[in-house]
Amino acid sequence: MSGISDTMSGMLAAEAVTRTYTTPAGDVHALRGVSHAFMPGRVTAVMGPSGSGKSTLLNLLAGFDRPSSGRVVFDGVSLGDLPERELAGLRLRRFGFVFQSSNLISVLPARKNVAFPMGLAGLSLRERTDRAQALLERFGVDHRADAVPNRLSGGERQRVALARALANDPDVVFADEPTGNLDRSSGREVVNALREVAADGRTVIVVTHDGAVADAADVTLRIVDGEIDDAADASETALHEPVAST
Amino acid sequence: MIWSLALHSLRHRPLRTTLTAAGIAIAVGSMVVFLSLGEGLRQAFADELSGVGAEIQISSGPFEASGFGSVPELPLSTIDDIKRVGEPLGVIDVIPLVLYLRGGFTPDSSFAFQGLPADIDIAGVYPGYEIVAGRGITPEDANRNVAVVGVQAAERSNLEIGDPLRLSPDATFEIIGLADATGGLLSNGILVPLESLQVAIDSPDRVSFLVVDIDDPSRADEVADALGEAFPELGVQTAGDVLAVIERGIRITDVVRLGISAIALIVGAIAVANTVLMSVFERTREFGVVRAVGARPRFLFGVVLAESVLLSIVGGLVGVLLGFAGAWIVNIVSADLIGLDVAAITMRLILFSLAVALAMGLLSGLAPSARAARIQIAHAVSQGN
Repeated sequence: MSGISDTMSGMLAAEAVTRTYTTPAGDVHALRGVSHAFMPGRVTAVMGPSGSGKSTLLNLLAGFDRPSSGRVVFDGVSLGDLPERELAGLRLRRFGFVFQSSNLISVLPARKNVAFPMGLAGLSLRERTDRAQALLERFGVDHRADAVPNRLSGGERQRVALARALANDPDVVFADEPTGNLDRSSGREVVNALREVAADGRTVIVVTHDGAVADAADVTLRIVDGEIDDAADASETALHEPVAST
Repeated sequence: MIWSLALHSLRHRPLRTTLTAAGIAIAVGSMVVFLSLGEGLRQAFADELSGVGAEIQISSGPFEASGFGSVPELPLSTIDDIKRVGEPLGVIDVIPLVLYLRGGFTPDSSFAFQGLPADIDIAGVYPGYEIVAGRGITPEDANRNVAVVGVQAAERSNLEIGDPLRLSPDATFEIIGLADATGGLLSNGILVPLESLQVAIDSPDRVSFLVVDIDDPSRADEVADALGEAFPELGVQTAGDVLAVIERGIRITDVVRLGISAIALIVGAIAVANTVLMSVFERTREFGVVRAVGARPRFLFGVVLAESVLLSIVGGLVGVLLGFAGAWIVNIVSADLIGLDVAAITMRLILFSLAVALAMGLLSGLAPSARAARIQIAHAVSQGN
């Protein structure tokens, strides 16, 4: 099947994706035929009111869930066709994740949190320690490398999470409300960091309520009642030129 | 990775980890103490019987039914019959023995009287027999109410030479000496002339056992079989047979004690399962994140199972140490009361206890591990938002 996803390497696309939940009260249509291609080198903000379906879209794009119909395609492969083992491998090596606060492993210090996905990927202790340290330095939290998450500020936690998201050098970084619990200054730092990540040529998809994040994004996708709001469909933010894929 | 994360998780919650491990330690410790009693009894009986010189014992019926302290039932005339049949088989001597237990409310007022002929060499029956104070029984004492008391019995009941020992309202024995021997059977008992004891318990011409001495101890089984065939109405046992009967009895008590221990172990296992399951519930979001960043379900299964196993191993090791302490206390008490160490911790008991602890960890960790492995990422990471 030829679709919007076939054009670019490392590109993630939703093709006529629907997701329906069956509940005792009847079927709930969380997504109704969403199609969109998420480009490398760009930050795409997915916005919409609570319950509009934006988190559902992220779950489907990240392979946490499978669509009721339609498909999510990454590098020409439909995620729905992959067994759980291969999906886990994809999330480990090609995708990175930043969630709202408390998304670090609470019992591990920052450095070990960042090194964790590298360990799963089979890197040696030396490699993962060096690389984790470099990533913490990149996001300005290397001085907090030995602190466990509950000793970090909200902004520091999100920057450690960003470092962890890049642990295995992924093509796509997902961020779910990354500035949700942060003050304005910390939020701005995280947004800037996400833009830097996109500047590396990665696809960055941010689900957010935060207008400041949308303002900083290259593309804004507005979801309303499970559908892309045509009036604001994939508007390219004029203030930010897309960063070319490297 | 799995063991490291499990270890970090346990160390991150020290109070909960300590309390859960303490629960396991107490369960395993109580099991070790219970089972150490069986090990101790085995060792004690082996020691006691090694201190009996005779290779073959004969009772009026099966050994299990002969019972210490019951009325002697074996006619003295049996001695001549045994000698007659046994001589060609290598029987050197047949010694009659009357055992009589005078019960009391406490161990120090209970006495095991052993009546042996006054004219025999006691060392032939109890190797290592020696008088440590006073004098021993001589042929002249044959019909006198005199007694030689084992050192442990004397110490336990605070008896001295010259003290009277009341066996019944009509029979009192005077202590003339204190004796010791290899094993504890004699040193915990009271030796009196056979005839005096028979009169005192109103059982003349009857004995409890016949102790058969043979020229070649390696042929004990063969001689016992031949005597058993010749006297089917009697119980003929070698020392090995006696040990086997005792072993059977101890095994029965092992099962009972293991059953009692199982209650503590089950409670401990439920506590581990509950703690680990609660910890899985609390970490649903965190486990969702771990899955999101690429861990497969079996990784989380392994982490949770490893936590459970680590808790159980630590609890098991501490439990074995508690068991040592418990057995030590039991032995202090039992040595004081009956002059025997009834608890013993053997290597096989230690290994068995650690294996039980490990099995407990594996079993109690299965359900929480399966729960962790089934966590749905989308549902888990949305928790707390």
